[in-house]
Order: sequence, then structure tokens, then C-alpha cells
Amino acid sequence: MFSENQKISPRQLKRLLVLDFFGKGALLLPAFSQGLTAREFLLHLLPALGLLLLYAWALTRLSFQVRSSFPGYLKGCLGRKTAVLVELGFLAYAFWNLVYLTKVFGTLGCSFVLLEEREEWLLALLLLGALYMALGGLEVRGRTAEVWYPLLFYPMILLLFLSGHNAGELQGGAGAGTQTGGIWQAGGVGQAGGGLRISVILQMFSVFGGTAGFLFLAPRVHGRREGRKAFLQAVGVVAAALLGLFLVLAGNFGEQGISGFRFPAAELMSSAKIPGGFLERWDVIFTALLMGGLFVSAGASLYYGIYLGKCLFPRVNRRWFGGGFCLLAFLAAAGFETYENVVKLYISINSYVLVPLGTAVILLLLWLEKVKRRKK
Amino acid sequence: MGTLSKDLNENQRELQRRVQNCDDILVRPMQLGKEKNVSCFLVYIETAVSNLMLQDSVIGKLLSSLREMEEAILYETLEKNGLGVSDTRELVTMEEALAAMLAGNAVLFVDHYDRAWKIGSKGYPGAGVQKAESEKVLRGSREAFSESEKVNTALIRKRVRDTRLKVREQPLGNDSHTMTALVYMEDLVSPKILGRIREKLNRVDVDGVLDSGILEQLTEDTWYSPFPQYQTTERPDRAAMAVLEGRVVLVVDNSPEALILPATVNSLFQTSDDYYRHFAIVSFLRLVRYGAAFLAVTLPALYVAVMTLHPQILPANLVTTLAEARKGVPFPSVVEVLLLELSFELLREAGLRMPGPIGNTIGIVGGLIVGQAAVSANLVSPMVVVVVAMTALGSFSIPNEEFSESCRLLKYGMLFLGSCFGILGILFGWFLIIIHLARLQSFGISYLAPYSAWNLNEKADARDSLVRFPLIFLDRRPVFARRNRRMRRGGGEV
Repeated sequence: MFSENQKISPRQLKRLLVLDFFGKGALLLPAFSQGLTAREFLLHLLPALGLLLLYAWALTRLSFQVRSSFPGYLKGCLGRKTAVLVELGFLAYAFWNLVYLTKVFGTLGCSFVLLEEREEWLLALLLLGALYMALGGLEVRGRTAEVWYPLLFYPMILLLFLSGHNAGELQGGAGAGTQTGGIWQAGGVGQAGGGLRISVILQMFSVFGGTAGFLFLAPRVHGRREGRKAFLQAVGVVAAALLGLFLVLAGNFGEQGISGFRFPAAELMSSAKIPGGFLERWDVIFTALLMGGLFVSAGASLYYGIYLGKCLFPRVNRRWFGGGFCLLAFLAAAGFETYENVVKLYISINSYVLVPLGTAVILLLLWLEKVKRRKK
Repeated sequence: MGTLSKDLNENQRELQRRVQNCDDILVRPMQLGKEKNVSCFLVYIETAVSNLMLQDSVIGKLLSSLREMEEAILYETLEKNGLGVSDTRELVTMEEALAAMLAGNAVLFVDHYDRAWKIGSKGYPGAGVQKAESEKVLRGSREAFSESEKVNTALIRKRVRDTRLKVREQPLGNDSHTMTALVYMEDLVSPKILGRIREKLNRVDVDGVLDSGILEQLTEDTWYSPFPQYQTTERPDRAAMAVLEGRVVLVVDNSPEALILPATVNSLFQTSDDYYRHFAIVSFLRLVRYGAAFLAVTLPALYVAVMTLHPQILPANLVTTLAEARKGVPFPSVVEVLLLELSFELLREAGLRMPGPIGNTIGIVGGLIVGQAAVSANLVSPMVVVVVAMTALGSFSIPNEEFSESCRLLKYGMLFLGSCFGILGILFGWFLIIIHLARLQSFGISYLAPYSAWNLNEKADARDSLVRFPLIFLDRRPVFARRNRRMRRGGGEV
């Protein structure tokens, strides 16, 4: 039967990846805006997204070589021990990603949606939803994303589009600096001095390090070429949507605006005037939609965690492993006093250790493939 | 076109090959003539020709006369319609004979004679068949299934007059020996689906199958799911439609509701008159039904969430109006909603159990009186009455009763999540519901198809989902049908 083939369609893959990366990008990228003006931020974001597209292209090239499973391919190319080390690296990435997502979910929820709720409840809520999704397997994740996507992503884009029309009205708010004329006017020089800082670009790029997860999914997508196309489309959609989001944010909050808020995307909606006026404030709705996307992101991290856990420790029951993984993520997320602490650690570990290593492995594998081809 | 043979055995073999696995079609051999030396057989649909042997029926009289005749006279009488029976016709080919039989007539084959005779009969059951009560439609047949398995299969055959429609009977229940029948189109049904259904039915080990509901619960894939994994119908036209889509209909004796399998969320939101009416209004109504299901699950939770946790999202004048309306109500919003919802459940249950007209009256009068009294006594605010009424209307608008019941049940879970976690809780609730639906399967078909598999079957299923395309564009059968038989036109081959 078609529903039991352990495969997902290219359309499901695309929606899965867009939901996975849009929310995370929208919430995490502003963390790199400290000391940058809106224009500088956008100038750094553009090459970071360019790098992402390049990386995505490299991943699709490599995906053609991954026949049955990525761990199996790793073993074949790098040997068992090295493969285990790489898998451990991916597992660590999945874990830290889950911790970050859990914390951001709790913080966002307590800041915009449920002001008096205990954060721990929200952390548990996210992890429960993610666990239920991850244990369903890839097919269930694909189907859920396909149905969830139009309910979350389209309304979010619509809200952003509608909120764009009052650009400029919000400037002078909490995060606004001296440049109140908007980013399209001259001026606005921050710590980057109007130039580009490679480290910031690489940090921004590291937010999307998880796109390497495509290699785990590629063998299980219907049609190699269609899967590759869907992956590149997803990356394109995420890049375009994030660029659009930050343009709207920059337009609304002015030069210093983005760096002045913890979650500028959610903040935007708290004062946006949506035509029609049937609701007073849209931030609750928009934030809830963003958080809906985080369920899918957390489900993805947990899925990879369980998948790699099963590869590394075949005897462990996947339900128990998933439960344990969630419990650890919960304790780690709840253990951090503030969101900023988690972000700092997440960025440090990801940007300086895990994502560079992961990227190096991908490049190494590509090089090995090239050598193989030459030998042939 | 296969002409009939003079050899009766050859005709009988060919006929039995064609009606193989049609347990509702009977082939009755007998001997005619004074010496009882002329072999013949009569073929007919059991229910359509149920009064066959009665002396006062046309067929009965004809057969009695033929039994008393000499062999030579017998052939002459048949050829010239010597008995003057008004509704007989000579049939030359096997196709003609089958068509006449499927139209509800008896067909007589006689040895040494290369023609058959259609003998007019009472036809398919019509009178005595009841009207549909729970699956009402604006357009289309008013007939509903009865409690007899034989009559019900005949009602389906009446709509699909083809020998490819198979009826496989099987008694189930260790003590009740209830007759069940699997009805399907031989060339359209997916062998895998049919195999799975048979396998599940064969595994049924229970003392009594008193209704199709028992079989449903014993054979569904995920026993703990509140969602129906089979589609029930009391309408023969719906069942016939399902059979033509390549699905299987399970008819159970003593049960006026047939089960259609596999089922998907999409199929549960479709009604039979969706295909008899203009696509624009049908598409609109389908959107209304999905909206109704959303309201049925979410509205009370949304009201509580907004009133208690997110009043800031509403415009100030609306918040003031709502607060005014709640003035004097001693309970928190969640208790208020819960009280009225439970009262409504009581009324619904009481209305259902009360005999006939009293039940309906209880529902209307009780609702009005209890609602008004509760508002007057300041137990609930008028807004809550509106919310509960809208929720009830939402659940009534869902065409499938079992799905509607699931929504009723989920509403309480959602109410809990909405009151604890506000909009986020509702979002979480829907996330879990969608994951659960994504995990469900009905005989190997994803329960969320085509929403979770939009491109499947050349997007044919998507064209008959949230909106219904004009019939001229619905040229493919849904994904349930056998892979190479999905075209509705031009012989069915893809």
C-alpha cells in the first residue's frame, strides 16, 4: 500500500523543511544583530543565505551517492569508527537544537502568549508534541507537515505581508535608535562599520547547519531528482521568507530596531495594524503560529536524535531512547536561567564546533566522491 | 457477444463462470416435462425473485404447466409463448440473459435449446424499503438499507447491474452465525485491500455479531482512536457509489447500516448528493462542513482561552460587551461552558432515548428552556449559550455521525487545553490531532489522503476533496481502486 512504503513525497519533504527552518531562522537570526544596524544585518544575511544555497547544492550532489541510508554510507566511506564519531556529532547537534527550540518555545510563550504561565509547562508541551510526532516515523512527520503547512505558513506570510503596509509607523519604539528615517535612507553604521564581518556571516549560516539532515531523508524520498528539487525549493522558500521578514522588520523598526528586541518578529505583530480591525492585537496569533512551526522543528530534531540513537545503540528501545532524549532536553532547557544563556551556548557550540565539523565532513565526503570518480 | 449453446451444461458452466462469487445470484436446476426428462435451470437474484415457487406467481404457473407437458410440446410452447405469459422474451446471447437477470427477472435455460427466456418477475425490492433517517439528502434516492442482508445486497445490485459486482457471503459469530456479505467490483477492487479485509473478517472470534458496529470495532486497525476507521452508510446509492470507486461494502444481516472500507477523513465529509448537485454549491458546502468540524472541536476552547487568557486580542468594545454579559455569573468561563455543554449532552441523550415525537420536542423545548433559565439565573452568560449552540450546530453539520461523535469527545480535551494554555493549548491540541490522523490508516490507505498526499493518483483525489471539481474533470477513480483500473471512462484502463 502506498501509505506503508516508509517514504515521503517531495512535496512533504519541502513542507517539512520549510516549517523546520523558517521559525527557527526567524527567532534565532536576530541574535546576531547585536551591534549591527538593520542595513548591516541585511547585508550579512544576504551572503549567509547565499552560503546556505551553496551548501544545499553541495548536499544535493552528495545525496545522489547515498543509496540506502546515510549512516551506512558514512561507514562505507569513512570506516566504522569515524562514522560513529560523525554520528555522535550529528546526535549532539540534534540534542542542542532540541534544547534551544525547547527554551525558545518556553520563553516566547511566556513573553507573548501566556504571560503568567510557568515556563516548564510549555517546555513539556513542546517535547510531548515533538515526541508523539517523532515516534510516528518519517511518514507521519511528512503527512503532518503537509497538512500543517498551509495552516501555519500561509497565515504567517499573510500576516507579515499585511503588517508591511504600516512600515515606518512603529519606529521610535523600544528598539529604535537615532536613525528614524528607515533603512533605505543613508546612514546607519554599526559595529561592522558598514563592511562585512565573515564571522557574523558564518554564524548566521550555522543556523541552517541542520539542512544536512537532508542526507538522512534523501534515500527515503520518492524520486531522487524530485527530492533534490524539493530540497532546493524549500531552501529557496526559507531564504526568501526570511529575507522578506527581516525587510519588513527593518522597515518597521528602523536602523536599530532589530537588535533592540529579543524576538522582533513577534514584537512586530504586537503593534501592527492589520486592515479590517477585527482583532486588536495579532502578536498572540502570529506567535502561536510561529510556535506551531517549532513543534515541527522539535519533532525533526527528536526524529534525528532517535534515528541516530538507534544506529549507535541498536539494542535500546526507540521509545525509551526518545523519552530519555526528551527528558534530558527538558532538564537542560529548564536548567538555563535565561534564554540569552541558551542562545550564547547554542551559538558557541553550533557555530564554532558542530556546524563547521559537519560542513567539513560533507566537503570531505564530496572530495572522496570526486577522487572515486577520477579513479574510475 | 457469446451466443447460447444447445448444450445446457455448457450454458450453465459459462453462466456460473460469469456469476462466480455472486452469492446473491441463484442458479436452480430442475426437470421439466411429463417424464421429467427435460433438464433446465433458472437463474435469478434471490431477493428479486423471492416468490418464485409460489403457485400464484407467473413463474410458478409457467413452471407448473411446463412440468405437465410432453417433451415435443414443451419446446413448441416455449417458442410460441403458448401459455400467453405477458412478460416473456426470448434471449439469444449470454449477455442478454445476464442483463435480464440483473434487471430483476428470472431467466430460464432449457436443454437442447439455444435460447433462454426472460420471465418477468416482481423485480428488486422497493416497497417496504425504508427512508434514510440519519443520512438525509436534498437530491437523490430516498431509499435506505433494511435489516436484511439479502435485501441490502439486492439494493446495491439494483444500482450496479453488472456481474462484475461480487457478493461474497460469510457467516460470522460463533453462536449467532450472522450472515455478512462483502460487496465489491471484481475488477476495480484492490486485491491487497480485499485480502486484508478478508483476513480480518476471518480472524473475528466472537459469540455474536448483532450489528455492523461489532464487526467495525473488532476489525479496525487502531482500536484506541476515537475516529471512525470505517464509513457507515444507510444509503444504497452511497454504497453503490463506493463500490464503483473500488471500495468494499460490508453488509451485515440485521443491521440497517453497511460499512464502507477503506475510509478517509475526506470520504467522511462527502455525501451522496454531493455528486448530484452543482459543483459550486457542493464545494461551498464542503468548506462549510470542514469549518463546522473545526467549530465543533474548538469553539468552546477558543471562547474560554480568549476570555480568560487572551482578552487583549479582542477590540476594547467587544471585551466590554462580553464582560458586561458575564456580570453576575459566579463561575469561571471554563466551568460555565462545561456546565452548559454537559446540559446539552444530557438533552441530546434524553431526546435520543425518548420515544418518537417526544424526543424531538425534548431537544427543542429543553434547549430553549434550560438555556433561558440558566441565563436568567445568572448561571451562564448569554454568550456561552451562543457558543454552545454554535458548537452543537457545527457537530450536526458533519455528515458522518461517528466522526461527529469523535469531535464531540475531542471538544472536552480541547476545552481543557484551551483553559490551561490558551491559544497555544488549542494549537497543541490540533497538532496532536493531526499527528494522530497522520498515524491512522484504513486498510493501508492513509486516513489523511488526499490532504497528506496531494499529488497522489495524478491529483485526482485532490479534485474531489475540500472542493469538488465539475464532474467532467472527475475522470479518475480515487486511490482505493486497483491501480490499472482507475479511469472512470473509456473502459477503465489507465
